[in-house]
Amino acid sequence: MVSQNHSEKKTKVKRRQIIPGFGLSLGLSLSYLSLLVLIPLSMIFIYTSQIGWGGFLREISQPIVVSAYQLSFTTALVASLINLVFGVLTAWVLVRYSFPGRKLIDGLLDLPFALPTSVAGITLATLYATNGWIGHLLPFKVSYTQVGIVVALILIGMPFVVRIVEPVLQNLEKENEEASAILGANRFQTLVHVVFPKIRLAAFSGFALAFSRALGEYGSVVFIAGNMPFKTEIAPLVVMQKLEAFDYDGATSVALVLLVASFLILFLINFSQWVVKRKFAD
Amino acid sequence: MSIELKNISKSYGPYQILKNIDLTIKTGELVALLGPSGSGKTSLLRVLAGLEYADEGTILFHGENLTDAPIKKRKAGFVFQHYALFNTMTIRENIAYGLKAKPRRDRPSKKEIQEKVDQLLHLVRLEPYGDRYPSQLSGGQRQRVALARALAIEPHILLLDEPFGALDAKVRKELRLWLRRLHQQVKMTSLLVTHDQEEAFEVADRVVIINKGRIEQVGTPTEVYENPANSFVYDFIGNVNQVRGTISDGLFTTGAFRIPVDTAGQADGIAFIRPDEFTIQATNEQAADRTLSATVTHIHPSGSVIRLELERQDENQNLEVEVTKREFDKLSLSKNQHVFLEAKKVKVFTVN
Repeated sequence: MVSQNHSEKKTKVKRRQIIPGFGLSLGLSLSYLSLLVLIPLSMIFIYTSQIGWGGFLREISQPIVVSAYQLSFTTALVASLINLVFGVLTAWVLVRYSFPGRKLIDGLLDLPFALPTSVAGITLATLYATNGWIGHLLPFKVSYTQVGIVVALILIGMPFVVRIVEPVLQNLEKENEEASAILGANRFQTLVHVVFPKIRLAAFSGFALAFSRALGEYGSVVFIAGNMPFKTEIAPLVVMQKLEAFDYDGATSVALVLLVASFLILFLINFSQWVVKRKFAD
Repeated sequence: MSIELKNISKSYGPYQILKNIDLTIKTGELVALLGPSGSGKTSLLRVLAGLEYADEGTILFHGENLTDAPIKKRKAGFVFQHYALFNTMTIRENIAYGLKAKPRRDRPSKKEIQEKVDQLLHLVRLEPYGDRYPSQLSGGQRQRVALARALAIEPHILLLDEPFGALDAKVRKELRLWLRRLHQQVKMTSLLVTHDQEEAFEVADRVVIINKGRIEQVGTPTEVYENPANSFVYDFIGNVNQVRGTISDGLFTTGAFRIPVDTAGQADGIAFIRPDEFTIQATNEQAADRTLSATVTHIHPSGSVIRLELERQDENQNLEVEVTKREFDKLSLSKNQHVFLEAKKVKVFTVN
């Protein structure tokens, strides 16, 4: 996703290849992709198109849907911004310093990827409940509020920024920072003018992926959100409820907006990478 | 600005990479630190720049003790082997970086920075490239940008760490001569690290040969080439034949080859003879002492100098000899021919 190879531009597939099995392996992977990704996704477009523009707009402009979108987008944005800041910080700490337990922390960071989201949701809801271990220490309510949603989304989006920024930081030439220091820059100037410009693309990619993931997250959020319509009901939950009520038109319409948003984010990531690579790449 | 290093030592864990280095560099001098990789030459440069600190010893810049001074105070320009340009900035921004980074009270005005950058772009002959990014420049051009960037802050000394190491042979040679001329123009005290003896000899006023963290010899290129201080230097700078033998009673002997030496008593020795310091004779009429008899095994007939490979007849050893084209034609040598090699200049060192 992040390191796609743009170098190979072929107008036509070569007839003769050194490595055999090109046709078979391409055919297999394409049909596999079609069955699992392309056909189901296009079904959403096709299904929604049956109700026409008017129907579609009517479905997605229902007050309950609009408020769910607002909630989903704002909580995802807040959570991924927080992940951006702390992800860069975590990556920096893991790459630049060596301390006991560094490897352990590095390994633990992948836990949100592996953890069943419902487990994460239940754990967070209990911990942050008003009588929970952490919740009773806080002056404000977390569980069953919008803050709770943000907490869950931070957890599930945490690894993205760290995992994408980490290798970039590792590959930074130490010489660049040394050159900056010799030219008289202080540590802060070096960070702002030399280090950040090099990791900003990676950080942005991580942020966008975390945002995209947070937008669609369902499992962990439903346990901690409380799911009150107009207050703590997220968009994916609206899709679920509409399905349960056999309102397929409504469900696919709401889903379509989320799908398009994901596509836009992916497009933005790839486009920004393309722009930056064209300008600075060696 | 002069540089004085006194008794500098540094270790990384159990490895001592600099051992009691004493060195003085005069104002305006260009000195080359020459040594094999791992000899500690780059570490010495980094200690001077303040990128690393010595465990022991003193560093004086123009008499001022800067041993523990932070990087900024040293006012050193540093050129890295791999350029270390900021690739998210244009060439102009790269060059201006050091000026813009100054604290506000010392910072030149925008216009002054512009003028300074123009001036430096002119100096490194890259005027048309100011608005490009480093990735759009060739290796040689990038290294010139790196040099302009280092000079922008008007450093008191210039430190160059294998500046041409990553470039191809032709560009290296051009840049070398260009650096020599540039140094004559700006007359800045400069220290150049290299493992390439040709580069060191061509560019530097004085050469410092360094090996295993120790200085082996300091001198002008001629002094070092004509009079290597020890067997390491002899071996390191240029091609040389090493002939093993024994020393006894003031005489070095190997086969029929004998020459007097200063060493008293018994010892094993190595005679160093450069390939161009032989005279080839078809016969050995005078039965001279310093003559080796050998058979021609290979002739490399390219260029103005003909390289010959020969095998000693008294012992199983290959020798390399260089003769001028004219001499070669006069002797009309051929493969498998038996000749006598008279050594014009020999240096014998005892083997410890």
